[in-house]
Amino acid sequence: MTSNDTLEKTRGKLCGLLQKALILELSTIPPYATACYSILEQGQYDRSEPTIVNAEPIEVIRQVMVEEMLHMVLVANVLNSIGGHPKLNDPDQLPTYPTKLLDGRGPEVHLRRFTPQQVKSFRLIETAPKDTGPAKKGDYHTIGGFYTYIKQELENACDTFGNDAIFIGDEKRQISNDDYFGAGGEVIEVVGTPKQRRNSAMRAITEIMEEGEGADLGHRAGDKDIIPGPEGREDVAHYFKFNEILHSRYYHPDDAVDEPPTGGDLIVDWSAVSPMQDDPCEGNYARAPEVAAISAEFNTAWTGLLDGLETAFNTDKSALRDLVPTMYIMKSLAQKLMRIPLPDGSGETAGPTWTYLGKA
Amino acid sequence: MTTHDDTIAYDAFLTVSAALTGYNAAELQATGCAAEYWHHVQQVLPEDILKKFLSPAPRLGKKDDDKIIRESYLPDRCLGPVARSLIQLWYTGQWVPLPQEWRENYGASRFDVVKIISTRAYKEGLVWDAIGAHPQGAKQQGFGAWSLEPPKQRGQADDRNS
Amino acid sequence: MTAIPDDERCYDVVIVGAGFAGGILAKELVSEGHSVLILEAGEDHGKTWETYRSYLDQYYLSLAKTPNSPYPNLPTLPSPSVLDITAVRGTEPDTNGYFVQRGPLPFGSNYLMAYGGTSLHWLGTSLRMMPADFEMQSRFGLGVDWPFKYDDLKKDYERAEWEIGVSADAVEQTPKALGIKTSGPKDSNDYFAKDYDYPMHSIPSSYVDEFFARADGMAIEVGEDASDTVHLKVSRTPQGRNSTPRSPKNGQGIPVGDEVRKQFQPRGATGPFAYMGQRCEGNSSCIPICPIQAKYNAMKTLEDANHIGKSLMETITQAIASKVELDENGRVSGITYKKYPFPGVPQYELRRARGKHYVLAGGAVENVTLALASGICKSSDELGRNLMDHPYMMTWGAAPEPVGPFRGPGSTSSYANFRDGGFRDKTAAFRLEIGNWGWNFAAGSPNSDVARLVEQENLYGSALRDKLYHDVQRQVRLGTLVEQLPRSTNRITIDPAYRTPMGEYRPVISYDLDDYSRAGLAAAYEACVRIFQRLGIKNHTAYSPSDAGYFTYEGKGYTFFGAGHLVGTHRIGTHKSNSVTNDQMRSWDHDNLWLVGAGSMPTIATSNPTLTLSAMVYRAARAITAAVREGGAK
Repeated sequence: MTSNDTLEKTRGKLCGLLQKALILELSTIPPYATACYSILEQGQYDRSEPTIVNAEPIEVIRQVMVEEMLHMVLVANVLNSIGGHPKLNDPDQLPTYPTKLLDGRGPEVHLRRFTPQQVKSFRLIETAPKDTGPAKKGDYHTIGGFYTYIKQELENACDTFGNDAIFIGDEKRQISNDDYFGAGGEVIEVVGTPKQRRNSAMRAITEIMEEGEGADLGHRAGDKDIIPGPEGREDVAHYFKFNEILHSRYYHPDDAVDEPPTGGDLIVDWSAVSPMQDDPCEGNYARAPEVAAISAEFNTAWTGLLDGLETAFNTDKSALRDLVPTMYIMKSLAQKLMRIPLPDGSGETAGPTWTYLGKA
Repeated sequence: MTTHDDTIAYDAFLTVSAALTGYNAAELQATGCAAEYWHHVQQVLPEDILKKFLSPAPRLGKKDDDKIIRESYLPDRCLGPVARSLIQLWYTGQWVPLPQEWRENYGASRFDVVKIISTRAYKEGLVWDAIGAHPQGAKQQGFGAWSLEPPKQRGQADDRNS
Repeated sequence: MTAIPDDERCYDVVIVGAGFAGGILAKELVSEGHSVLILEAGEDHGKTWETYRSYLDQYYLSLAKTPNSPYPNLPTLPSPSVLDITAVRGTEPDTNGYFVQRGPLPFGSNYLMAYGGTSLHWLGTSLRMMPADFEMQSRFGLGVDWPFKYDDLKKDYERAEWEIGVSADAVEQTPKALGIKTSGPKDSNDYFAKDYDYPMHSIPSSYVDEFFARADGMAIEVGEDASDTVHLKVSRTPQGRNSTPRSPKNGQGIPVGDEVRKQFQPRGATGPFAYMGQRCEGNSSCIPICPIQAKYNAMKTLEDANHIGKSLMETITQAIASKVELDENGRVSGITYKKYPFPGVPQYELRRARGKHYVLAGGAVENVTLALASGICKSSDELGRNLMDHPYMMTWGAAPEPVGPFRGPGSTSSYANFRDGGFRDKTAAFRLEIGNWGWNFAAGSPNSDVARLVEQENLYGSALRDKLYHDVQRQVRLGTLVEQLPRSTNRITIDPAYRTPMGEYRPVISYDLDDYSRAGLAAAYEACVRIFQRLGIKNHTAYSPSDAGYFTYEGKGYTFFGAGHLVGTHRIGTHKSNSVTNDQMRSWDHDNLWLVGAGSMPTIATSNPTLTLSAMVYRAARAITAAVREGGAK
C-alpha cells in the first residue's frame, strides 16, 4: 500500500480480496461434497449383513464441509463489516470444474469420486505455506497464504485510515450464532466499537486459517476448537483431517505435524464408492433425458442455495434457515445421480455438475 | 460393479417396473436397489413365469401402457399378484409374499417370504418420495425443515407428460 | 450349594440400572468423589457408536418399527413389547409376552433393558408437573399428596433440564401462557425462578402445529361447570433434543439450581461423531431411535460419569441383579447378580456386588420384581401397587389440504389447556399431543397406505403416486395422554410359575382404568371431535371391540394404548405406613437402600414422567452423598 491510495480505493481492494475469499471457500464445497456423497453409506452395499463401512471418512469430510460453510459466513461478516456486498450468484465469478483456485495460482481441483488421489488433492488445498513472508507481500499460492495476505492488508488499512474509517458496515447484516448454529464452530460477529470490530475481524480470519491449516498456521495439528463431549479434546485442522483418512488413523491434537497420526483407527474402504465419472458435465446426459432431468433438479437446488445465500448475506438473514433443507435435497439428488450408469456403457455413473442456472 | 447388468431381461425388468410404479427407469436405478430387486425377483419366480412377466416390455413406454397393465397384468391370476408385490417392493423395500393360492398353482420359492430386502431398500422406498417426505430415520431434512410449507408433489402427472 | 463369590471391591454406592436415573445418579455421586458401580442387565456395549449404528440398521430392517425394534431382545433378557399386547379374556392370564397380564385390561406399556435404558427410545418430551399435581388429595380429595410441593422440586427441575438439554422458552411454558385455568389461583406465579430459562430455544413448531393453531381461541367446555371452559391454544412442547443454545442476557449466566451457568454446549453423538447431532436434523424417528443422537439419551450422562469418575466409576454389563441380600439388622449386605458371558445363552456366573449403599434404578417394574423376589420393603404393603401409566388414545383424520406430515420430531406441540382445572374433581386431566407423523402410530402409515391402494384400490403407476401424495399429505393425528389415580389394585406381583429362562421372576400385572380416567378420555375424544369439526378434518378414527385396549364409558367404545410412562410402584411418602421410601427415596425398611425412578412418583398427572424422575434423582443424590459421608449405620 502506498500513501497515494485513497480510502475508497483501499476499501475497494479489500472488498475485492474478501469477495475472492468468499468464492474460494465456495469453490471447495462442490469437490468435497461430491467425494463425500460418492461414498456408499454404511450398510448400503451389503444386502445380507448390515455392516458399518466408511461411516467415519464420511463424517470427517462432512466436518470439513460444514466448516467451509462457516468460513463463508465468517468471510461474509468481515466483508459486510467494511461496507462490502458479498456476491454469490454472479455467474462470471462462480467456479466451473476443473478449476484452478486463487486465480490460477493455487492447486487445480476436480469433481471426482472418493479416491486417495482426490483426498491428496484436498490436502493440497489445505496446505499451510512454509514461510508467510512472501504471502504477506502478495506472493501466495495456498489458501493459508492468501488469508495471510488479506490479514496483512486489513491491518495496514486500519493503521493507515483508522478503524472507524474502515468498519462502516451495517451491523444488522452480521450473521450471529442464533442465525447459524450447529455447523463447524462459533460464528464471530464483527460488531461493537471500531476497535472491537477490528479485533473480531482479525479473529474471524484467524479462525478460518486455524480450521484449515492448523493453529499457528500448520505448526500444530490442533485447530483450538474443542470437540463437544466430556473430554473437551481439541479438534484438528482440515489438512490433518484429510491426512487422517489417508493414514486410516486419527490424530492427537499435539501430534507433530511432520509425523504420521498416532490416534485410534479410522477404517476406510476405498472400494465402497460409486464409480462416478470425473468432472461430470451436462453434455454427457444429452442422450439420457431422464438423467438430465435429475441433473437439472440438482442444479435448480444449487441455484436456489446460491440465491438464498446472496439474500441471507445482503437482505434477509432468516433466509439461512431454509438453506439447510436445500443442502440435504442436493445430497439426495447427487446420490441418485451417482447410482445411474451412464448410457455409454463405460460402467461409470452420472454425477452432479454444480451448474448455476441463472436467476429465475 | 454389480448394479449394472446389461442383459436385455434386466432392461425389461426396469421397463415393466417403471410402468407399474410411475417412476422412470433412471429414477428406479437412482434408488441403487434395482439390481438387488432383480436378483430377488429371479429367486422368487420360476423362469417361465418371469419370462411371461417381462414379455410385454417391448410394448411398454409408448402409448398403451394403461391398456397393457390393466389387461395383461393386474387381472391376470398369475401375473397380477406378482405385479402387486413388485409395486410394493419398489415403494416400501419390503417383499410381500405371493398368495398361498398362487404358490400352489405356480410354485413356491423359499425366498418368497416377508422381508425388508436391505437397509438401503428401506431408505430408498419410493413411498417417501411419493408422499413428499423422507424415510423415517434416514435422509434427514435439516433443522426446522418441518416448519416449511408442505412440499409440492414431485413429478406430478402434468410434469411427467410434458 | 457353593458360596457366591464376592466382588473384590466394595463401592460407596452400587446402582442397579444404567438408564435415566442411574446415569444422573452416577454422575452426581462420582462428582462428589464417591465410588460407584453400575450393574446393567443389558447386552455389553463395546464401542458405543458401532453398537448404536447396528441399532440403526436393525431399525431399518424391522418389519414392525416398534419402540423396542432397534434394540436387542434376548430370549434370556426379554423386554416387554407392544406387539405382545392382546386382550385379557377369561380368568387365565395372558402370557404372550414378557409381562404376565391378569387384566382386566392389558397394560400396554414397554421399556428397554439396555445400556442407556428406555432413554434410547423415548420421544424427548420434558414437561414439568403442575403445582396442583403435588396436591391431588388436598385440592380434589383424590389420590395422595406428595410429601413435598412443586416449589421444593423447582431447582432440581432446573438441574435436570440442563443435564438433559431441554429446548423451550420459559416465557411460553408457564401455566398461564399455556392457556391452563389452574385449580389454584397462584399456580402460575413463580412457576419459573427469576431469570431462569431453558438451555436452548424452543424447537420450531411444525407446519402441522400451525395448521392446528387455526383453531386457537375456540371455547371447549370440560365438565359441568361453565367456569371450567378453556380456550384452545397450541403450545410448543419442551423437548430433550438439541436446538439453538440460548445466549445468556447481557453476557451474564443463567441461574440453574444454586449456580450460574454459562451458555449451554449441545452434546451430540457419543464417540467419534461428536459433531453430529448438535442440533436436531429432522430424522423423524425419535421413537424408536435418533440416528444422530440429537435427542438426549442416558449414554451422554454415563459418558460424563465415566470421564469425571475415572477409576471411581465402574459399569458391569450383562449383569442381571437377582437378589438384594440383608444382614441381621435389615441393612443390605450385597446384591447378587447373574453375569452372563454370551447374550441369549442362559448360562451365567452368580456373583455378589458390595457397597455401603445400594440404589435400585431399574425402572418402576424391574425395581419391584427385584424387591419382591428379595422379600424386602414389605412394611407398607405398597410395593408394586399404584401402578400408573398415561392411557394413550389416538384420534385421526384427513385434513382438507396438505399439511406436510412425516417431517420432524414425532410431536412438537400440544393443546396443554386441559392439564389442570376445576373439572379435575370428577374428570381426569389430559394433554392433547399433536402428531407430526400422519397416521404412523394410528394405522401404520405410509406402508399401510401403499398396501391399501395397491391391493384394494387396484392403483399403479402415476395414479398410485398421486393418490399416495393426496392421502398421506392430509393425515393428522391427535394423541390423548390422560392421568390415572393411584389404585392399590393396579399392581405388579410375582409368581413362581412365571420366570425367564434365566430364572428371574416375570412381572405379573393387574391393571384397569377407573371411571375417573375413562371420563377424561371421553372428554378428550369429544374435544378432538370438536377440533376436527372446526378445522374441516374428516374423522377416520375407528375403535373396535377386537382391539386389545378396547373399553367402554357411558355406552361408547374407545381404544387405549400404553404410553410407556410406568409410574408409582414404590412411591415416596410421609410415613412407612403409606409409602415405600421417604421423600429422599430412602427405603423406610432398609437404612442403606434407595429406590429411584418414576416408580417413586405418588401421582402421574399429565406430564411425561422423565423430567420429574430425573429432577427427583438430584434430591436423592444429595441425600445419598450425605449418608455416605456420615458412614456406617445410624
